[in-house]
Amino acid sequence: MADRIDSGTLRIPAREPDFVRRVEELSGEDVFACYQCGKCSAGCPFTSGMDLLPAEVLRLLQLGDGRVLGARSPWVCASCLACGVRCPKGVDIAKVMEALRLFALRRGETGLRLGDIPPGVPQIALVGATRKLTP
Amino acid sequence: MGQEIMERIREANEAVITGIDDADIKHWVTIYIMGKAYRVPADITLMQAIEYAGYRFVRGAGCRAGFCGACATVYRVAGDWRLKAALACQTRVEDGMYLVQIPFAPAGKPAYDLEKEPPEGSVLLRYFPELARCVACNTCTKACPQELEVMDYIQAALRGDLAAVTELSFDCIQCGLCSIRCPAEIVHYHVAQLARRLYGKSLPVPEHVEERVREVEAGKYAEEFERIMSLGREEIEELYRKEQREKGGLKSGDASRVTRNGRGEG
Amino acid sequence: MERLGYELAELPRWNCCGTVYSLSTDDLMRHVAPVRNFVRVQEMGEGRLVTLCAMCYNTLRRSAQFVSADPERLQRINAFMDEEPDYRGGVEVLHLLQVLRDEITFEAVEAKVERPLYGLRVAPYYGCMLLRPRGVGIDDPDRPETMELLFEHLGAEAVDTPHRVECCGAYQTVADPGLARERVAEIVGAASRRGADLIVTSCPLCTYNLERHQLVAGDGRGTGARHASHVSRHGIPVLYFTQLLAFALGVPEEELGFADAAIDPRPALSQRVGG
Ligand code: SF4
Ligand code: SF4
Ligand code: FES
Repeated sequence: MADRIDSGTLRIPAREPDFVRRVEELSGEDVFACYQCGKCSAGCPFTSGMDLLPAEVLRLLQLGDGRVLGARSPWVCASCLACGVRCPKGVDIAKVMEALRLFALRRGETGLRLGDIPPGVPQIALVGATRKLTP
Repeated sequence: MGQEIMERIREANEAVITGIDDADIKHWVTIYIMGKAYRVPADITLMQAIEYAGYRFVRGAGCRAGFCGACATVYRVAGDWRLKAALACQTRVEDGMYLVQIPFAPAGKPAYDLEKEPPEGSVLLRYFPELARCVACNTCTKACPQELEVMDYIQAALRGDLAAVTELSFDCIQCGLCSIRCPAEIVHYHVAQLARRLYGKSLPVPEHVEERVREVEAGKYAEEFERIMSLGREEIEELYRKEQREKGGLKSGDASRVTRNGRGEG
Repeated sequence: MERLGYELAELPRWNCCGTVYSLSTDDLMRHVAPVRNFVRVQEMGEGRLVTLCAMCYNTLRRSAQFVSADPERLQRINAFMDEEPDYRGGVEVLHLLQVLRDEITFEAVEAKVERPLYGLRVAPYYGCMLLRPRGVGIDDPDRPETMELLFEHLGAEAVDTPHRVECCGAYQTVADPGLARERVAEIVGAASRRGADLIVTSCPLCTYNLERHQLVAGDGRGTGARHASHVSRHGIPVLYFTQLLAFALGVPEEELGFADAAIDPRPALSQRVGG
């Protein structure tokens, strides 16, 4: 597992920070519905590359912890939707991941440098990658 | 040299405008060039209007006939929210136009060696992976002053269909207006140019071209070339006019009115 | 499709749907490409759009749902695309597997089989976009059976593998090929342990990933280069379901693009089916 964010000092803020509200707006999902059963993390096939498990992403959002905004996990997520079909609370976690990516993308950050594209990848992959990972 | 040519073009064009006395002009419109209002005759092109207003083109004008793509302009007309794009030399002024010239579309062109590239569609994506970002918004098509189906050729490029890109982009004059507007930041005209080059490379050289090349190499036209090269300027101009008259393209021997384009109004 | 007595007409001037559905609430621009295709369908006077690709299916189907769920959204998209006639809604998006299953029916397909695939062990691979989310997918997201049934009707034996609904790495093959490689090693490994002769997909990107990353890393024997046909010893060939279907229906092999596969399926096919 990649470096994990230390969760030893989490504190619950008195008020929901703006970025959490924004993530909820962008995703259309209620992050507070999550009760931390961890089924999404168990089903996610990409956790080996993540610094935060999907359930942890939701947890940090619930706690209003801004470190979630710098996490690598949303960039590793491939929008495969395995998490969403498993969630007993109906949270579509992939949408939350997308909202977190959009946060960065809309500031002009990028998750893909077009110069580094491996040769010979098909259009379908390039279109998908540029849509998900470039501003 | 370039400066000198521009100067001569300007002079030639000035005659078109100033040949008429302001007092004789009945219809006037107001246009805003980079925000500043100017009253200009109603019947002239944007390019002439810009000059009439006192600006001088150092860049952003070339053929004045709708062919070189140097004179890209974006404008809005008062009361219309649309941002329009046009060639300054091919578009008449309208009352209430707000305009600015885009003499150059910032775009780096990747270097490629045509000899080394196979004539295959995948080459396009290798040099222009950003093609994959097209969202099919069609903004490029709406911007194109040549009325090309630009989005369709970009979609064809994404599919790797060199023949379709060539067909659809053939009249592109590389003005860059599409690329200024594209939200996916694609450089359409460079993509299309590469596609046409690759496609052209894949075609067999027609017999008549080979024939002509053989003739040239055998020195068939050497003498004629020599003769033309030795002529003075006046003689060359006269030769040109004569040629044009024979083709029926030139009226009343006025070289400054030569337009090769049906839409042209030099 | 001709052999099945069914006609599909190519959509004129189609554009790329975008391949991935936007998961955000406010990104209307991402729906322009799908809706423009729906306008083309409408212009043809048709009401249904069939795709061969799971990603197109998912993107188009969800976009159709997205715009029909809220007339205001659709109106904004129509207003933006003012050069096109308004999309009035109502285009139904289908994956070819649905057409085969629900309209032509697998029984009718079976009746047309000329080259039954007896003895061939086929591992269906669904991936993500054909099955998820629930309500969009063409089958149960955890226990799908559409492809199993189809292949059984063609005479083949369907090999059950636990990874058939797990992601192949999708577009991460561009940004982080290592992720895709890991996924593919697991998926192909499972199919191989269960003795599959072929893996059959319904998505071009799955096909690419499963082939390509098998050769790159897979069992460690591939080199990543394009191989001659003997390589089928080292990997499991990956076919599109339409290729296998057409093969069983008796379409001449030369028309099926087998020679273009990174891992040649012909040895496996001829060994089992007898070519
Ligand atoms: S395609 Fe682009 S560069 Fe070419 S003429 Fe049209 S707008 Fe200008
Ligand atoms: S403007 Fe750009 S994104 Fe829009 S259709 Fe043209 S190429 Fe595609
Ligand atoms: S000056 Fe050449 S196109 Fe306008």
